[in-house]
Amino acid sequence: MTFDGRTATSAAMVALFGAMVIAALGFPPEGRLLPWVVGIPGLVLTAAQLVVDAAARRRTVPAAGAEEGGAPPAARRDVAMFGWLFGFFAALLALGFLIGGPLALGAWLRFAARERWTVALLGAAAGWAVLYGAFERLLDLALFEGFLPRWLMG
Amino acid sequence: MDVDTVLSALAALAGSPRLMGLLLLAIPIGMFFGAVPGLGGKIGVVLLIPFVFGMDPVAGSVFLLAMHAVVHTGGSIPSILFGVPGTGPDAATVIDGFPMAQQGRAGRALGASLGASGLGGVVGALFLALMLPVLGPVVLSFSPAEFFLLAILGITFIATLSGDSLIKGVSVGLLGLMLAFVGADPQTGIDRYTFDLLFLSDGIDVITAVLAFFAVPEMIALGVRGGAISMVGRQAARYSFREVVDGMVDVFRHWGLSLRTSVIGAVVGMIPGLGGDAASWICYGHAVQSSKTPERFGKGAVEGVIAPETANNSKEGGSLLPTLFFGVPGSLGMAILLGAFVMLGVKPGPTLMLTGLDMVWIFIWTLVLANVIAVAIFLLCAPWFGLLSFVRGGLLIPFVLLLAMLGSYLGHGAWENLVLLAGLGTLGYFLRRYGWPRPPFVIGLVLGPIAENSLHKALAIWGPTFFLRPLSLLFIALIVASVAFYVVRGRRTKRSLLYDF
Amino acid sequence: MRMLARAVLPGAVLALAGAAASADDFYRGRTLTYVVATKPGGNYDTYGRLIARYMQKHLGADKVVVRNIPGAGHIVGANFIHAAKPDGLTIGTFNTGLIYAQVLRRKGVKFDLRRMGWIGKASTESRVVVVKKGSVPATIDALRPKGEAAKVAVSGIGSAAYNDMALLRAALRLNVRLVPGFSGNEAEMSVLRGEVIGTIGSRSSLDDFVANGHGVFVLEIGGRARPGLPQARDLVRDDRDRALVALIESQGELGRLTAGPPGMPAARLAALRAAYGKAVTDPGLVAEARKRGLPLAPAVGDAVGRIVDDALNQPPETVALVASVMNVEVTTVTVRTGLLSVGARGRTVEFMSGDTRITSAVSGSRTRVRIGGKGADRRRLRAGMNCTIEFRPGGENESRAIDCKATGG
Repeated sequence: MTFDGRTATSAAMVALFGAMVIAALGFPPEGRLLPWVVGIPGLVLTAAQLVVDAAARRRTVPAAGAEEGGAPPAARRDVAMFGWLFGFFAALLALGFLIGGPLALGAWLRFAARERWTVALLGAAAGWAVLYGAFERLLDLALFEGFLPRWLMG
Repeated sequence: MDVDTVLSALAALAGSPRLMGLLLLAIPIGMFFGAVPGLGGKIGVVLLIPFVFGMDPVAGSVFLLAMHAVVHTGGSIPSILFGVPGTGPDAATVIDGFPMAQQGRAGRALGASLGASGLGGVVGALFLALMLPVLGPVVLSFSPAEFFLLAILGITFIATLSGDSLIKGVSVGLLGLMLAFVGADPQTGIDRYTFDLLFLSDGIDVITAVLAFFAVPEMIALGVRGGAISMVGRQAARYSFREVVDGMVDVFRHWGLSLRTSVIGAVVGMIPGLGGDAASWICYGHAVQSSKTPERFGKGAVEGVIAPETANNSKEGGSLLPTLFFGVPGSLGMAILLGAFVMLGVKPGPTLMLTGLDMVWIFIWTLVLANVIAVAIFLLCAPWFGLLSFVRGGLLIPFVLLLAMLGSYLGHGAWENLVLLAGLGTLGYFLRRYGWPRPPFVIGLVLGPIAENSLHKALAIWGPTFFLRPLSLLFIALIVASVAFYVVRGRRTKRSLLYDF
Repeated sequence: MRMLARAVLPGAVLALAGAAASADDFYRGRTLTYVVATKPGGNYDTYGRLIARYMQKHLGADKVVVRNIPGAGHIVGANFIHAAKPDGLTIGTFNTGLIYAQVLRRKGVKFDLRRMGWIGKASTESRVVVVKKGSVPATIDALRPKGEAAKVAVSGIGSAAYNDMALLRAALRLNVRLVPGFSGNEAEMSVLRGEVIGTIGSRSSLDDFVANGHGVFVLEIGGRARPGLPQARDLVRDDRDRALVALIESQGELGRLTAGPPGMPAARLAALRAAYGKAVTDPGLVAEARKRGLPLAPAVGDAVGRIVDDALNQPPETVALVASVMNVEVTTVTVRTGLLSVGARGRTVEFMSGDTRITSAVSGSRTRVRIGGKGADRRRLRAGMNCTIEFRPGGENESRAIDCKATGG
């Protein structure tokens, strides 16, 4: 990675607390009290952690310089995994559980996990069977239809 | 307490093939509803009411009670195997249960959770029986002031659960507390941190947050790492059935902890308004605190499975108390059960205590038997469940992810929770990667609203001197003791627990 | 009212059945979705599932699916029903308290109750005020103590019970302090513990509490008169107070509504109403409801719509009154008036809100000041300017926004 994930995470935490503390300025006085009682110490602590991480990084960076040629393989797997994760969510949001679910299952099994086609199709079918059987038929519990079907049906 | 009534109730229950048949039918149903994330016992009761309508009061009540009693026994299955909690209170089981599965000890974890659930359920029922005569004054002495202090006590456990870095642990805990503020402010009614989204006006869904911080990161990590959930090969793991029994025996090896957490769970269940999530986390925190080697927790300590699981089941017995005695339900699930009882013709309230005591004892025995039989049934299936942790990760991950998304969606029927799941899941992954402990987050998220609401109520009722009540002072002493304990222990181990570098 | 319903109902059902005959075939083989705006298990869910089951029978539909869509105090569910395709296959139930939400134009409300396709309502529930057994006096005067205000436990701010109590307090000049945040039966536990003196709720939810000897009814709002229990409407004198009580009563009048989205074809709406009417009078449903302790006092179709319209058509004075009554501890009041004076550096302004002279703090960071439609610094405010001021009553009466017309010249 071109930036240090550890420090970035700490920075993200600082940013989160900072944002929430600032947002609390817009609350009326009583509503603001507890968010600040919790948020300001949180901001201080995460800032401290960020300092610790940044300092440590400065210490170790020269030694790590030799590894920098190209992103290390672990990072590439991370990114790939996130790609699949968000793809999975996107499939479910777009097509719902009944269609998107088996589709995402099958795609994952075949392409991300590199299973055989038979396994992927079987997995997708099993997923569909359980979702349909348990939720639609047995329990009568509505599952999310997905945005595409919603848009298509008007 | 009349021994005659007690025993004749048992005879009436165990001796009736019809009642036992209903009990046996109810158990797998209850475990199913517990095991599928997002469903839970409440939906189970609601969906079964039409089937139960028209049954005689005893039969219908036995059926529903038995079903409800074993929900959390089932909920521990996905928690341990996949890190996906079946219900909110099962989230605490994930913290140590899932790492055990990762170490190839899924069978043992399942056994421990099984034994703990059974023990907890029985102790809860016993608690119900013993407390009946003295119930009134005890339940009535817990007011918002005590809820607030109890929540604060739970929150101090954040420090204990911070593992190697106090700064990171407390920060994550504070983050949980901050996110607990999302939604309508109890004091002014104004929406905080909702960005004008209706979806957020009820706050952040606990199940989604737990799934995002535990299940999703573990699945991503598994995908990155490759292999199976269990990082230990199947040959190296011990033979499944014996493992499960071993786990059950663990419950008795740690009998002091098991009994204590069962009682705590029953007490928390008895107090209407605290909620089931609080019980399991408070007991988990207690387990960490009372252990001589707290650093094992979060990495597969069996006590981390035993403590919350006993509490999950014992709280059922506890929450029956105000439900039956006052006609005031001890929890949301109890509220629905109460409606069902009324429909069946059981009239909770002081009259029940006077004239229907034999029915109450049948209920108590139902709890006991349901928990014990569930243990037996589960025991037969547990080894097969345990094998799942040896399955190839690539095969398992998409199913588990789907399960997690189901669980997140089903709670509120809101697709926005899926987006929240993705976002928080990403944060959760990075927190996991870089050593930020995650249990404090859930503690903050679960106990924060209780703390804030109770604080405002206590201030409104008594003003700033609300804590000058005997029970409150006791809790304050407990809080001070808890913090002091932590500090003293830290000094004794001479390690810098402040930050890890 | 109940007598009238019983007389009118069969006739209405027959008429509707005739009109609906042609639409009968539509539902065969189709699934009706019944939306409940709460999580499973509460009273709305119970009524909803019961009615849905019997409507399926009388509609001849293939299936009726109950869908729980909770959130934001029924608003999410109501939005969903309002936005659903008006083909008659989606209907649902939600809290009558949404009338308040619409009247006060709460954020996030995307429905218009006036335009929704009203199918029917299932019960009439009066509201009652209960005080702890043993209180002295055991009457409504327990809520009028001299000196320190009596504490009353209610549910969350903005909920039905909270609104009802706030309005009641204004209408009857009670000396109470509302302690909010008690959900479900927690309020009753609080009364039992003696932390508060009483609570308010629907009659059926508090019946058991009183029957078990924990509390005493001291006041009823709505429903028919009962001996020994005063009605709020008999205790009010002037029009303002009467309007407030009427608003609370309309809430109880419209218990357990069922409605569909606006724009449903007339024949299908008629079919739904007919099926509803048959469902709520079906002996099976009546027996089940009685066994489960669910009161029934149904009304079908237009009668419901009329009550809703009446409740929504409040004169502006009442709307402002309701807003201010409920906002005293909550949000903001908006007035359009002239500035009487402006303090040093624009830090305060003075104006009349109704008959009260208000001095409001103007914050440099939190108050949005506009003059002539453009953002301006508070120092440019002048006495005599005609402005719309939104402020939070209480404390410093801090202003949220001040929009003034530019003074000519």
